[in-house]
Amino acid sequence: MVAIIKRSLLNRKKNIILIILTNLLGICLTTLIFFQYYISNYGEKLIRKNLSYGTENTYFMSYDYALNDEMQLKTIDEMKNIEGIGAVGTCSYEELSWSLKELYDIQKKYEGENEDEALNYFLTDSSGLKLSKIELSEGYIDEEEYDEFTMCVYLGSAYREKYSVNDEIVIPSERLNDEGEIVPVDNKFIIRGFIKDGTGVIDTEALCNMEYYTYDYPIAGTTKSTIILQDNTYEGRGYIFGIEDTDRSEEILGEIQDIAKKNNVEMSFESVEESFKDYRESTKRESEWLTDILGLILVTVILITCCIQITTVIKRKSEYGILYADGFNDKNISFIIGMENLIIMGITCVISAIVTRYMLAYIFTTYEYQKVIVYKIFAENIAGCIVMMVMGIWLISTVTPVMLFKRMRTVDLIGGNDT
Amino acid sequence: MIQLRDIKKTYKLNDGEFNALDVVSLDIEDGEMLAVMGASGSGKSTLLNIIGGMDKPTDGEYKYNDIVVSDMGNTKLHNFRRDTVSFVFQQFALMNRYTIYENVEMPLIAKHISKSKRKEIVREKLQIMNIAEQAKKYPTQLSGGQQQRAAIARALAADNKLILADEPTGALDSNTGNDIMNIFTEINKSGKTVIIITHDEKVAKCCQRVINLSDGKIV
Repeated sequence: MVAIIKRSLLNRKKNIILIILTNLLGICLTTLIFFQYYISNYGEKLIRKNLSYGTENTYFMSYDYALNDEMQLKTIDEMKNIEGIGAVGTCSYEELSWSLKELYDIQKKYEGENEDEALNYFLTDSSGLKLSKIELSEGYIDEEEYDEFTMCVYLGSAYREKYSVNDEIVIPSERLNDEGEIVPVDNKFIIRGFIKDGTGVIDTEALCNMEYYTYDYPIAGTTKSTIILQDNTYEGRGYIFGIEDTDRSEEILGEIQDIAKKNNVEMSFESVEESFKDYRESTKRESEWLTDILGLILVTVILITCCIQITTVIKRKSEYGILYADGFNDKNISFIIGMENLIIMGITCVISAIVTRYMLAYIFTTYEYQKVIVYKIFAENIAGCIVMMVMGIWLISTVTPVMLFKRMRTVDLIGGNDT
Repeated sequence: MIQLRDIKKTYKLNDGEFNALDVVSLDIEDGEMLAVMGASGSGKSTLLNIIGGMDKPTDGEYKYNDIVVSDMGNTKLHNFRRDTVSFVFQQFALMNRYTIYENVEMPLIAKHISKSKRKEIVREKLQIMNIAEQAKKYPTQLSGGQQQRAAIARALAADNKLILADEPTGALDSNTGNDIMNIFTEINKSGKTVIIITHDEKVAKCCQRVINLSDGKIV
């Protein structure tokens, strides 16, 4: 029986390639659409899980920062002093920048010279860190903010063998002073702890631009991740604040508006929960036509594949007729057709899954950390969809010819043109 | 022993019914070599298909060694065919995608015979048929006579008691046809029951008994 299946598969190489390509194309397109659904859900889920003050009591602010930077920072500082406010802060994801090249050197030293990945880190102030539920496997959250050349660092678990909590890493560097001269400077990194794998950190900038960054919700707790605590006064960061005393929510929001008015800063804020509602409205409209396309692609791929599979088997009906005449029974014939289809669809499934997984990783990820999310969504949702689709095709393309052959007389099967 | 009692086979057509076999009764002894003759559409092939378990009668009873075949369900009929009957067709019915060796091996696979045993049996049957050297070739690379020898080797490999041949010499020249008939005579001498459908008087003369069918009836 194995020999029959093997020979049969070898005799339809072109056919198999066609099936794989059709499915690959269909599965890739379907995956892209599925991914759009899942990524937004996943982002929401992650935010809900990781905001210390919850989505109802966490707000993000937007303001015209270009007008008066000094007054905005003053406003932020004053906001921090409002009674009942939890934290006002920022946390953003960065890739390697020239000023942190030294940290990249550490990573390179640790991982070997062949490591060519840019250093991925989260830059946050202590308030930003407080807004996210940061879980450490070792160490502690430091409230103290350091200067430009001394940074508090939280590392992923991959670095645990190399460093310990409170280790200081000093790396000599140089910088331009106010007079435009290059002067030597020591960069000091103090390790305050190790991040628990799977810990979430909200990228506040991405959160403030949710409509555009539906998949930009990072997980910090990957083994190679790094969080750098720094006095964060850079422009362009999205600020979020959390309200601790929820009974005084409206009062606190009023106070914030008063502070902004007093400082002549144009500021607006919205709770994360409200932004979810707006976001859902817009995605709902998109999802209607996406569902139609998804359905069309799925039906087309399933139909084409089933047609190829069924016509191939039916073209060979005389062979199956001869096998019947040689003493094979329905069970044997079903096994041969089923196994043959299963092998083809299995190969299709594996190739499609591999291609789709990497396609998603390259199309949907700007930064390394996003791959973690993409792979997670792929494993939890998309892989299952691919398997279901392939199993459906296998079932239809096996049952149809088997049922057809059962209804036909052996003599009629042999009477084909293919013997 | 084959016992056919009042066998009727009716096909439904657009404009009514067609009686391929019309109350046929026939006994065939074990080890007999029988020729079934008749014009086209007389019901010869239908009779062969019923005896071989490839078709079921509309009415009547078919017994093989006192076992009622006509009442068998699909599974039992498949098993009956696998364990009792071997076919030889006019157009050889070899699978072009498989080598001669593999074609001959098929009934043995259906019988779940081990690989080493299959190898032994296939080689023996191919040698008997004088086509051992063609084992690795594909059917399309062989002459009509060689293909029919391969088809007979396949029938012999199964080692079934009943050999049914539908116009086995129909696609062959007369010399090759004679060779093939000699082979069938030898097979019959080895104790197997051989039933041959033919138009050819010469073929019929090689058989111990000849029956003629006309309009679905034995005449």
